[in-house]
This record gives sequence, C-alpha cells and structure tokens, in this order.
Amino acid sequence: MIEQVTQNFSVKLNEIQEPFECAGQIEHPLLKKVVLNVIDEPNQDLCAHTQFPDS
Amino acid sequence: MKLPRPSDELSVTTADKRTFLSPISSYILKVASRCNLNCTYCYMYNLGDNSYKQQPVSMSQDVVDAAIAKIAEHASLHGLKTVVLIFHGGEPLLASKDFYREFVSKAKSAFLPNIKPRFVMQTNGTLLSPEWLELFLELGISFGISLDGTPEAHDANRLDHQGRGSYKAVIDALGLVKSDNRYADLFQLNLTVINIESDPLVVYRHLRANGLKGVEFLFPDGTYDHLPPGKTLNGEETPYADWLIPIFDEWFDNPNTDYRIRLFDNIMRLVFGSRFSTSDIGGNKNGYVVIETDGGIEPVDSLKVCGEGFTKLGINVTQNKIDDIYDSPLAQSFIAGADSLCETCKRCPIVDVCGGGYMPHRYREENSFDNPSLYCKDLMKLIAHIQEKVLMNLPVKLRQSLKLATLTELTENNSSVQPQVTVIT
Repeated sequence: MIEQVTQNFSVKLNEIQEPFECAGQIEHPLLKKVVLNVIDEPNQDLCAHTQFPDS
Repeated sequence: MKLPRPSDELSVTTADKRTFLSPISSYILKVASRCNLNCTYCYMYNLGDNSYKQQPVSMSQDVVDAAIAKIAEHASLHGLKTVVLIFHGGEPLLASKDFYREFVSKAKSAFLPNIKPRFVMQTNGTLLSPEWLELFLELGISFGISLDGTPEAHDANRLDHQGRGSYKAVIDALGLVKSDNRYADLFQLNLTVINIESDPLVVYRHLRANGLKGVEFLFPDGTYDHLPPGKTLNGEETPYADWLIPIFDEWFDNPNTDYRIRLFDNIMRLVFGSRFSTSDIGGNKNGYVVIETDGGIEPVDSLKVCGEGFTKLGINVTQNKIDDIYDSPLAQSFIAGADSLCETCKRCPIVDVCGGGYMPHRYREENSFDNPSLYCKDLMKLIAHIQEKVLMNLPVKLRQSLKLATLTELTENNSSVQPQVTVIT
C-alpha cells in the first residue's frame, strides 16, 4: 500500500540516518556507486556545472 | 524580479540562503569568435543570432589581462578557492599556442596561491595535433571533444564551411588522444548532440568503441519559436526520451562499466537528492558566465537561440566588475536556477530532478521564460523511467524506508500531485 503525502519522487540522502547502511544494502554496482557518491558530496550548496566537460 | 547579490548573504539567516545568487566560479572564455566548422545546430552561428560578426576574431591581450584581474577580484571578494576557466569559441584551437602559454602564466600569477585555477577546453577536435596535446600537458589543460556518434550521425550536422563532414578528423584526433595515457588522462568526455534520426544503440556502441571515458548527451538547442528536430508546439511527443531510454537500459543493465554517461549519472544522483548537476538538469544555481572575445560579460551563450543580440548586457571586463552581471534580470534568472521556474514547473512532482531543464529551452518570445521546457515530456518520460529502474533495483525494505514512489504511484494515489505540461498551441 502506498502511503500518501509522505512519499516522494526523490529523497535527500544527506538528510537520512545511516546513509552508508542504505548504500550497503544495494547490490547493483553502478547504483551503489551513485549512492555512495551522493553521500560523499561536500556538505554545502554546489553550483551547477556547464554542459562542457569541466567536472 | 531583482535578486540580491551573494555578498548580501552575510546579513541573512541560513534559511534564506537559497534565494541568493551564487558567486561565479566558472568562466566560458570565448578565445576565438569564429569556427572552422559550421555545424547546422550551432547556437553561435546558425540559430538566429548573428552578433558574432561584430565580435573581434580573437581575444586580445588587453581583454585577457582585464578578464583575469576581474575574475581574481570576484573570487577574492566571494571567498572562492577554485575557479574553472573554460577555453571555448568558436573553435578554441584557432587561437595560437602562445596565447595559451601567456594566458595560463598570467592566470597563475594572479590567482595562486589563494585561488586554484583549473583550465579546461571544449574543442571540435579537428585541429588537434601532437603539438597541441603536448601543450595541454605542459599547461595542465583538460579537454573534451565533440563527436555525434557514427559517421552518418556526426556528418549529418557537423560540417565544415564547404559542407564536408568532420567525422574522420575527429576520429583521428581521438586516436591521437588514445595513443598516450598522459593525453588520455587529460581527456574528460565526448559531447554528443542527439540526432534522433540515428539508431541510439548503434550510436552508443560506436561512442563506447571510439570514445574514451564517457559521454555527455545534449539536447539540440531551440525555443518554442524555433523548435528543434522532432518537436512540435503540442509538446506531447517524446522522441528524445525514446532515443535515450534504450541507451540507458543497455548501460544500466551492464553495470560493471567505467564508461560514464553524465546525463544518466546526474539523473540518478538527483533522485537521491544530489546537489551536484549540470545546468541543463537539476535546477541548481548556475555559477558561471561567458566572457566574449571583446570582453563582454554575458550569461550562458546558448541563450543566443532566443534572438539577435539576446545575451548582450552592455557590460565588459575592461570597464565593469564581474558582480555587475547580477544587475541583469536575464543573468539573475539564469544564475538563480530552479528559483526562477514557472508555476507549472514548481508544482510538478519531478521538479527536484529535472530542475525545469535548460533555461534556453523554456523561451518563447510571447511570454519569455514563463514556460516548462520544450523538452518537458521527454524529460518526464526519461526521468520517470530512470527513477523507476533505480527503485526496482533497491531492496524493498530500503525503498520503503526511503519513502520513494514512482511517478505513476504518486499520481495514482494523490490527486493533488499531477505532472503537468502547459500545452502551447
């Protein structure tokens, strides 16, 4: 049963408890890498990069 | 709408920070205003803005000196530790090797040790030579090369001024890069403008076979007044999502890959609340401006698709500070990212991921940028597909604990949540 209101299309991983525990449960290597990268992001607002390869 | 400058941030609470503009940390430097290619979809030359004809062919040393001084001043004022300097054009390899030696030397003198400059170049690759690659090594310039995929896909649009395709020259350039690991280490991504007439999987496999680390797929630039291929004012069709989804599936289903597809990587990261993205997706604030060959300070150059002289703000590094760009409503809208979206976008459940798409693609002469992206339906279909695939690969308990739902589930279970697109007829 889908809970209304509390469900969202995206989640802020840096605001949840035990993010590394979450990442540890993921088996898909590419997805796990993405999640770990997000958890590892600097704790500050980041500007968007250009479309050119500057990142 | 007039937004405050970043320096005003000091006087407000953290909760208000989102409403402030970002410092400018990246600079697209138009070191050459002309190009040896004449690509059909180029926003610089072929989509309705001929202001390049009034620009000096190349950036003078006076402009270089002023640009470096003003960038250093801005970085110091806003406490930036790094600035990214992107050599661009036109074709940046039309400038001389001595130009780059002098530029990098002056920039390092002005920035170091407090500010670290990073040097990047986006080139069409056709003029690349071993001598240029040695220079990149000497100066620490990383670079990307434009390649639209197969010979047919590439040469359909990336032509020289005699109408000849540039595919072979680009593949030869990539061969040079791959011939030496030191060069390959400096290479970042191929830029690929989507050609919906091509077979997506054939293009993807060709890029993987002939490219290097990865690719950034770009939607062709356009506006509601000048629609890109395959798009109509109705906006319901999704040829770009339909082209990208098979590539995503093949890439995602073979997960032991080091090949990066930045668009897909960004979307997956944004599903997990990343604050890192490119300016075409995610809605982060945009911390970059363009400096033209004459020293003009301008917002993102692809806004040229909106009309003749659209990006001209009347400010110049020889006379103005970088901060003066914050006085331009157009620049404010671009720098503000998702804060400047229309109400339709702000109500959409996926706005935190799409960010309203790329600003130029929201433009219509009649009502300016008060529209969803002309690629709205494509973005929605692609993002919903990727998000669903991500969710299906999360353990059930984890998915439940993260309270994530697919777009279908959200819309079926909550009538107040509706993906919306303003259909302009």
